[in-house]
Amino acid sequence: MRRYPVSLLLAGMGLLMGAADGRSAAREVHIGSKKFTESYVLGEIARILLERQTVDVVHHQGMGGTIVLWRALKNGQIALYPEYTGTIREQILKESSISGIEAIRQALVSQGIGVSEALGFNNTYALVMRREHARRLDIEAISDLREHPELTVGLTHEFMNRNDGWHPLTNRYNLTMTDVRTVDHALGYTALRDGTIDVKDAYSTDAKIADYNLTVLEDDRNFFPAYQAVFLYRTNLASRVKRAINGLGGRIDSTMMTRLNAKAERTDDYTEAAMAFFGRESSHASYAEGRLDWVRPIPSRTLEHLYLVGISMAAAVVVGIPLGIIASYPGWLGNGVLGAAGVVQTIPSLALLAILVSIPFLGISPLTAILALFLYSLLPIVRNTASGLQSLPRSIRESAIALGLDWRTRLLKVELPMASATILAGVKTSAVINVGTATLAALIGAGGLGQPIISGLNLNAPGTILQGAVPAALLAILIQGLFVILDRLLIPKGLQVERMGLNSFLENK
Amino acid sequence: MVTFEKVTVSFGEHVALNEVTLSLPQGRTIALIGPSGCGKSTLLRLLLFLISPTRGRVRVADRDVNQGNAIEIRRRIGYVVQDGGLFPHMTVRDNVLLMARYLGYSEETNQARLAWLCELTKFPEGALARYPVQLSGGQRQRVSLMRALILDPELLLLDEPLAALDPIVRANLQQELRAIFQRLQRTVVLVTHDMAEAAYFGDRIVLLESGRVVQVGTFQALWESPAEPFVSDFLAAQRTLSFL
Repeated sequence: MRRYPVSLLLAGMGLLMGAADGRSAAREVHIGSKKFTESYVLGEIARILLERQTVDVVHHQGMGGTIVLWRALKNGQIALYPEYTGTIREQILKESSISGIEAIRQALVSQGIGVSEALGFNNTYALVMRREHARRLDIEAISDLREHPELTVGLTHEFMNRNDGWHPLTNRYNLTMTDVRTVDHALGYTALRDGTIDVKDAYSTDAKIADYNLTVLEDDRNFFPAYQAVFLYRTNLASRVKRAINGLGGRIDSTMMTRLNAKAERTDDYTEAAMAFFGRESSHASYAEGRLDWVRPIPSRTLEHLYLVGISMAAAVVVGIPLGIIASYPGWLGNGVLGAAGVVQTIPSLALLAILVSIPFLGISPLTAILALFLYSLLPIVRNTASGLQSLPRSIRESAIALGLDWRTRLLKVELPMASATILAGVKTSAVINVGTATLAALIGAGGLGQPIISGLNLNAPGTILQGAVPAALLAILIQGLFVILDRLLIPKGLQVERMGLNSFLENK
Repeated sequence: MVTFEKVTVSFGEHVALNEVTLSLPQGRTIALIGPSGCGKSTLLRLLLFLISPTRGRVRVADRDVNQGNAIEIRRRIGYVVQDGGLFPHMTVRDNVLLMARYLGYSEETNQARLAWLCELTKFPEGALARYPVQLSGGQRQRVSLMRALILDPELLLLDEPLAALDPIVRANLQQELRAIFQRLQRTVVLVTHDMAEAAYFGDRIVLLESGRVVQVGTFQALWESPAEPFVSDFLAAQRTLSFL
C-alpha cells in the first residue's frame, strides 16, 4: 500500500521548479516598460545600451500602465522606465501647474526618483481619424467634431480615465458624442481602419498613423499638454548607469521614434527596432540573430511559465489538501474554509492581480503572480478533497472506526487513499486553470508564455500571439496527459476497477 | 459481560431506543430481531461507541463504554456489516491483517493466524492477493469475518451479514456460520430481520419494536407464550412471507 501518494506528486513538481529556477537575485538593473510599442522599444534601447557597458540588466516588458510602473519604481522592483512629462504631471504629481522638466525634477527628487534629460521627442496625445473620412466630413481640427455628434469614438482605458483625457477634452471643446467605447490601443487601430469606430486617441509618434493613412486632428484649443519622453530612474542607481541613460538626451527625435515604432510593428521585434537606433551595422548583425530569437524564447518562456505553475501548484496542493480535510468535517469551520476558497475563486483573475499588486511588500514581481495563481488553484483542490472524503460509504468509514484505528491512521491509510481519485481530479482541474491563468502573469512583469500574447495583442500581430498561445495550449494538453499517468501511479490498484478488467472480475466470481 | 441499563437514544425528536435494559449471556449466540427502525442496529452501534447513549449506561467487559476507552474496547470486538465494509484499495490479506500489523504483531504470528482463519472460513489462500472488487459477495463476507476475528475478540457483532446475498449462497453460509460460532465459543450478537435465521442461529432471541424490548427468549418461548399480541403478529407475518 502506498502511504503518501501526494509526496510523489510534489517531488515531480519540485523537479519542474528546479529546472526553471534560472533567475538569480544578483545586482541586476531592472528596466520596466509600459504596455505599448514605443515603451517596449525605449526599454530595449536602454537594455542594449547598458548591456554594452557590461551592466547586468533585465527588461520587464509591458508590465502595465502608469500606476503599476510608478509603484514598481518607487518600491525598487524596477530601477528605471520610460515616461512622459505630461503623464508625470497629471498622473503621478497630480499638479497641473508644474511645467517644464526642471520643475518636475525638483518635485521628484525628494522621493528618490531622478528624471533624465529629455530624449528629444514630444509624444503628445492626439485624436485621429481616417484621412478620407475626415476630408469628406470637412474635419481638420478637434473643434470641428462638434458638428458631428453621430461619430463613434473608441478610446483606450487609460485615456478615458485620465485627468487630461476624454472628459476634460469634451468639456474644453463642448463635444457631445454619445457612442464612446473603450478598446485596446492596438485593436483600436484595426477598428478605426475597418470603420467600426471613427475617432480614436493616439500618440503622435504612432507608426499606424502613417501605415493606415490616418490624419491627426489639430488641437486648436491647445488642450493636450507636452509629453516629452524621459527616463525615470531611482537616484540610488550606480552613477555610470545614470550617466549612460542621460547620454540618450536629445538623441531620439520625433521622426526617429516614429521610424523605430514602425520597424517594431513591421518586424514584430522590439529588439531589432532598438538595434536600429544604434546604427545600421549592428541592426544588420541582429537581423540574422533576430530570426533565431524569434523561436528561441519559446523554451525559456515555457520554463518560466512552468516555474510559475509549478511553485503555485505545489503550494496549493500542500495547503489545499489539509484545508480540504478540515472542510470535510461538518460545522462552521469546514463551511468557512469552503466558503472562503469559493469567494477567492469568484474574484476575476485580473482584479485579483490588481489587489495583490497594491499590497506594498508584494508589488510587481513573480511572487505576486505565484500568490495569485496559488489562491486561484486552491478551491478545486479543497473542494474535491472535502467531497472525496465526504462521499466515502458510511459502512467503510464506520468499519475503520469499529476496528479501533485512531483518526490519524484512518485518514492516512483508509480515507485519503480512497478519496485519491477525486483529490487528483481536483489537482488536475487546478493545474489546467493554472496554466491558462498564468499567462496573465506577464501583465505584472513575471514573464511566462503570456508575454508574447500581450506583446502580440499590442502589436496586433497574430503570429506573436500564437508564440504564447500555442505552447500554453499544448502545455494544458500535456498536463491532462500527465494526470493519466499520475492517476495510474497514485490511485490504489483496488480502486481502478476499469483497469482490473471485467474479465478478471468474472473469472473470480 | 454485555449489559444495557436503561439506555435511551434519541436523535432530536426521534427516539431510537427507549429505556432499554438488557444483558447478554457470555459465550452464546444472541439474535436481535424486529421490524425496520426498531433499534436493533442501534444496540450494536452503542457497543462500538459509534453513537453514544442519550441516557443510561452501556457496559462491555464490566466497563462503561465512553470516549476514553472506546478505541481499546473496539479492539476487543469484531464487527461485520451487511456489505462487508472491506477497504477496496487493499488486498484481502491487507484488509485482514491491517489491525494486527498496526498493533505490531510479528509477521510470523500474523501468517499463522491468517492461515487458521482461511481454514475456519473456508476462504481459498490463493485468493488472498485479490482486491475486494474481484470477489463474490459470499467471499467478501468471509473476508469481513476474518478481519473481524484477527485480534481474537471476545465479542462478535454481525449486522445483517447475509442480507445482501442470494438465497443459495445465503443458505450455505448460514450453515457454515453456525459451525464457526460453535467452534469459536464466543459471545455473538447477530442482527437480522428474518425470524427463520434468528431461530436457526439464536440460543436466545431478542425481539424489539419501536425502540423497546418486547420479549427475550428462545424461539419456542416466543412461539408458545408470546408476551404480547405484537409477538404473535410478528411471527405470523414472517410465516406468511415464507409460504409465499
